[in-house]
Amino acid sequence: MDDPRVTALVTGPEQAHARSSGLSPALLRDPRFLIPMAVIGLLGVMAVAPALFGAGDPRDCSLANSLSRPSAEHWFGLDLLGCDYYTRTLLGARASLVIGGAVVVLAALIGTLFGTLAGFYEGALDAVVARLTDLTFATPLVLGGAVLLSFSDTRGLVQVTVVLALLGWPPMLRLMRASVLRTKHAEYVQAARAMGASDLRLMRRHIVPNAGWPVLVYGCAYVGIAISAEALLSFAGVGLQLPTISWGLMLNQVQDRVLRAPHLLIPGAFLTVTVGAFVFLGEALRAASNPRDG
Amino acid sequence: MGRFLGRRLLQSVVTLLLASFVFHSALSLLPGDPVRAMFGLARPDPRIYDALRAQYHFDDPWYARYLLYLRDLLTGDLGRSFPTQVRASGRGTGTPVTDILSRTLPVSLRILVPALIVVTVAGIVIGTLATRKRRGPTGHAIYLGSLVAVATPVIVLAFVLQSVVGVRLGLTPVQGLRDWSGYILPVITLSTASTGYVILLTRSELREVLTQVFIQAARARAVPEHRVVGIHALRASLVTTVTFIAANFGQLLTGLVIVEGVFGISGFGGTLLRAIEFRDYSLLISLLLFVVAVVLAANLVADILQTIIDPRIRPANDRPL
Repeated sequence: MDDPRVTALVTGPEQAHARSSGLSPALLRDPRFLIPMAVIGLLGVMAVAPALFGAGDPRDCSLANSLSRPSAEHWFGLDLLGCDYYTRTLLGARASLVIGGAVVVLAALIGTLFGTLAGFYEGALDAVVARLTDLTFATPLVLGGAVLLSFSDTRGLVQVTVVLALLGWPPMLRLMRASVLRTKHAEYVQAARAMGASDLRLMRRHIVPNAGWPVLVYGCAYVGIAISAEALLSFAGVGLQLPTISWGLMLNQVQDRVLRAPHLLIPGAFLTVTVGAFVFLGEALRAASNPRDG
Repeated sequence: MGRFLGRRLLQSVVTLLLASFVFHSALSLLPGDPVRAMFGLARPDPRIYDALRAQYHFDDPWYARYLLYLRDLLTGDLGRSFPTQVRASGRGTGTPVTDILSRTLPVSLRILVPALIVVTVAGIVIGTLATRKRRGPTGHAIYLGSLVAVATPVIVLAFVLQSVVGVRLGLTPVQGLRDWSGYILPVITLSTASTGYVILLTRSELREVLTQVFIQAARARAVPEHRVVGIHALRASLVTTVTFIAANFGQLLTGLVIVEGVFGISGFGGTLLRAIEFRDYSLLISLLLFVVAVVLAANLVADILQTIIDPRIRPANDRPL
């Protein structure tokens, strides 16, 4: 049982027909691939160089004008502390992209390492890893993360990333382990073994590279889930803390006021577009590795 | 079949035990003195302090405390919320978690059950429609719509529905569950993402099933098309839906926490959110353990349902790990 949301997106019941790699010319013409890539690229530029989009200084606030409506000067208005909401919304992309990317890279590293070892050696290690993954699958990502993070008084990018990766690696592990079990008896692996390749070399040169594609596809869609999880945690008050700028945290601060001032929901729109970009990307990659899908 | 379910039951019990051990250890590793904290700013009477420490077994080693905790769990005692307003007398022992659960669960179920019905019915019906109209604008619209539903975070959806339907249009209350109309927005918010997933799953599953030999055979026997899709094919996609809902149950409960928080509903989720806010660790750990138990139970129920819907399958028996 992988994360069912990602499984629904990236594998689906047709996975039997899936090619091992979906990189094809068709993918490069698929709007489901191109549009999310453009959006993610734009978000990336926004996070790295917000000044290009006219962002000012997020700490240049005037408390007297707290909660001003959108105007020519302040496109999205001002927040509770009188800071420019447009600037803060642009800068919010940083936390989301950094956490989304770091969680997936970290989870993929742990998952690939233990998945490869568990699949290659099986036995006791496999059994221990199996029980651990059972536990993390039964613990919802955000609720488990909320409890772990509530233990800590300082919660920056590092803490949130580590907790989400700690709870998020089992799907990667299962993908990797399943791939290793499939490939380790393949003839080219046997051939390499017959020529005297060590276990380490077999795993590094022959098994992992061939099992990597599913992890990559899964990882792309998982970025969206990690970003969404960070926003929920920050919204619930156990994620990132001020002065870090995060869309979930911004929604937390304005939650009592959004009903009268709907423009305060704009960070939510950015959050949705960001998560959506990764969801569509995952869908495009899934469709690409399954040629029969339209 | 019985042996298979027995094995799954055993695996679930082992997972639950492991969860209780991990959570309990995490709790005892936390810095701070819970007994001292019970007195707040007041200076504790040393005799009462010692008596309380002994009463809660804080002087015992951690493994002994775990075994005591386990014994309590088995007798149906899930622990207590941490007493926040203890007078210097040392009285006040917090509310038992079982009391909290029996008070809040009925409220939550009144949102959760309708949401599950919406997810199943709307997901399968719209998913079937999307398969039938696959190449047309309806099919494309449903496909895009369900991907958007899947991508919209539950907080954003909750606020958008509150401000548009509740405030701008004034159709429903935005807070609380005073009458039936108060349920509309929470149920929609909770079910939207899962419905999107079920639509996507039904769409791809149905298309796959419709190419199979038993469907061709049914068509060859001149079984009407609505029966072919409605009975033969849907049975197969129902299995997928049940599996998904069970596997996704934890995410549904996460959604419930946020929904109850935003809509001001004092059910299970609202209680959990307050436990997070007030750092009531003992309550938090008990509630999380309860969530894990519910998720494991949901997956066992799904295993049983699958064998009822389609007796041929040995569900997930060959799944990895």
